[in-house]
Amino acid sequence: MGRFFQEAVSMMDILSLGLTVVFFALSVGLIALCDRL
Amino acid sequence: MTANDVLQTLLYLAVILALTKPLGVYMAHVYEGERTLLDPVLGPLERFLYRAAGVRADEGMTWKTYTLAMLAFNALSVVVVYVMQRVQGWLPLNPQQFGAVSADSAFNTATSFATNTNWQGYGGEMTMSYLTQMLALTVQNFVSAAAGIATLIAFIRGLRAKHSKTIGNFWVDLVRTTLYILLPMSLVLALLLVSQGVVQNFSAYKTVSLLQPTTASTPVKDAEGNPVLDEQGQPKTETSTVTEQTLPMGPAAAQVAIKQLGTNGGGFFNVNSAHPFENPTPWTNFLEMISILLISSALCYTFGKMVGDTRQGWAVLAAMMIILVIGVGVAVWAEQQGNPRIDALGVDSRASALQAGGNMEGKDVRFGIVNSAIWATATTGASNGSVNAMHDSFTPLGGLVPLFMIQLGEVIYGGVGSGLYGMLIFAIVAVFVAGLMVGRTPEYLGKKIEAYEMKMASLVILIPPLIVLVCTAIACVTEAGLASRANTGPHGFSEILYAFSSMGNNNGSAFAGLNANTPFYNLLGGVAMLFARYWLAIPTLAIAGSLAQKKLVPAGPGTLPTHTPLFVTLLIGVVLIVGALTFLPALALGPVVEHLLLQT
Repeated sequence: MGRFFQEAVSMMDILSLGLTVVFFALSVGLIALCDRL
Repeated sequence: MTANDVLQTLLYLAVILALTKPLGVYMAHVYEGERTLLDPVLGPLERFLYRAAGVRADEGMTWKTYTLAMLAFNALSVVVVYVMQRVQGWLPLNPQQFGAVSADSAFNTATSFATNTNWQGYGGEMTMSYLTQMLALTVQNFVSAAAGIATLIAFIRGLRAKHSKTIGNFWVDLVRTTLYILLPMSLVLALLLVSQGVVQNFSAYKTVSLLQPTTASTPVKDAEGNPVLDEQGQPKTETSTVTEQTLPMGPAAAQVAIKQLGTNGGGFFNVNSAHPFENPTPWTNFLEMISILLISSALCYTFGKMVGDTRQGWAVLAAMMIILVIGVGVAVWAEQQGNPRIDALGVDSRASALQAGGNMEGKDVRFGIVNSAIWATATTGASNGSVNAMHDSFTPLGGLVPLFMIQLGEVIYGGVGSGLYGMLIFAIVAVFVAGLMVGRTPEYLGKKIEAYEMKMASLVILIPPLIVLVCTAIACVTEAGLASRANTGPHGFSEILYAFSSMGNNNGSAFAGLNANTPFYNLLGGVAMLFARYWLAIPTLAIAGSLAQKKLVPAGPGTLPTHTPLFVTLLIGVVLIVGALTFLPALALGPVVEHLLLQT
């Protein structure tokens, strides 16, 4: 199973999903910021 | 412009105007929760969906809860579309046996379809399985459009509410938009398209013999891809005769219908609605052009009806239509003028009974100049992004029109929902500017516009140009950015500026000429699309939440009426001045310089 993921999941997959997670986390931060302004 | 150009433009606008009120009234009924003709059929399904998902339909949400629900839904959408592309090789409905989409392209496409941009770095018929086209891309065409309209309806509720903390329920708005508006309209349009020859099947691609075999000369290349030279130092060519062609198939009509109605724009095939299987006849061309603006236009009436004064909706629609007509006029005129370099060769490019005349490069002879120019202007004003002609082949000034329409912020009709809430933000800025002139606290529809609303409105207006200009600048100074151009000089700059204007405003149309399917453009563009969609929706919903809590102030003698020709003029002025001030220097470096070079 571990080897399967090593072969199927590339560094670009991790980068792409990482960018998605970071963006939506920042967006939650923007909601909080807009609430405090 | 010829009489034919004027007649076709007037007919197009007249049909949209005629449909605006009936559809606008129907949509107002949907969002007010009133009974509609479709209730007996869709009501049980709607209630089942709420029960299955644990949604309490009568429960209102604060702007923060509403926004979080919208973000959570869209984050999940991005991940699902991404994963489906990466595993499509293992899934059914893949007769061409396409493998996984590359990771960077899958990221770009996932963000593109979830954000209603539908920028496409890939060619559909060469990349996506039928299952991916249907379950990933077409589903997003519905729900991303519905999310945009939901945000608008929440904004309208904020404008008309009195001392309320809630602005509606995101899940209810999403479901009702999809079930009662987008699905029925798409079904009718898809059937009309199929009747005209748009394909809708699961067949494997067909190989057929050409009626007229074609002979072509292609350059000979060595093992490293370099051209081989003959004894005279000229590139060697080899002649080959093509006798067969492959016809792509697939469930195209269903996707084409919603990509037009939902202002998504992503084509089933690579060349979008210039492909005869997506847009086979003048009749389908007219239907698809109407569909680009129809819902956005009708939403203006829905807005007026929901705030209790339909004149407000007509005023906003008038501002949009005036800018659109100017854009169409300039684009048709520029394309009908043709290319002076070709004229200088003695080619007759005048319009006559035998030819369209003008610049026909990149245009389908079935549609001619006027239908290509109307489509280009409408699709870029409306955040649709589908094309029936190649914008890269327009004259410099003709190409400037779609570019500038995008750069105005996708508020000239705009995306379904997002266009109108963008325009209403401009309306808030317009009443603020008017308030500054007379020294009075500005009001819009009885709500006082104060510092908080202006801070949020500034974010909405400043974020897209920031994304576009910063990303364009990065592409212009990096090898990866410059390597994708098909042209150097001002036209090459226009290709890059267009790409990021399109992605940074959630339009999705391409200038062509730029090879955008590279890790650089896929990743940078993907991030740009996310910011352009959600970082505008968040402050918009924040304004809605703030306005909802305010009391309604009765109109007094100092109140600026916002349904008059004076306000329409002011609104047009604000939109054009903001657009012009932000992008004129960049436009001067691209299409304007190219136009001047063409004249010398």
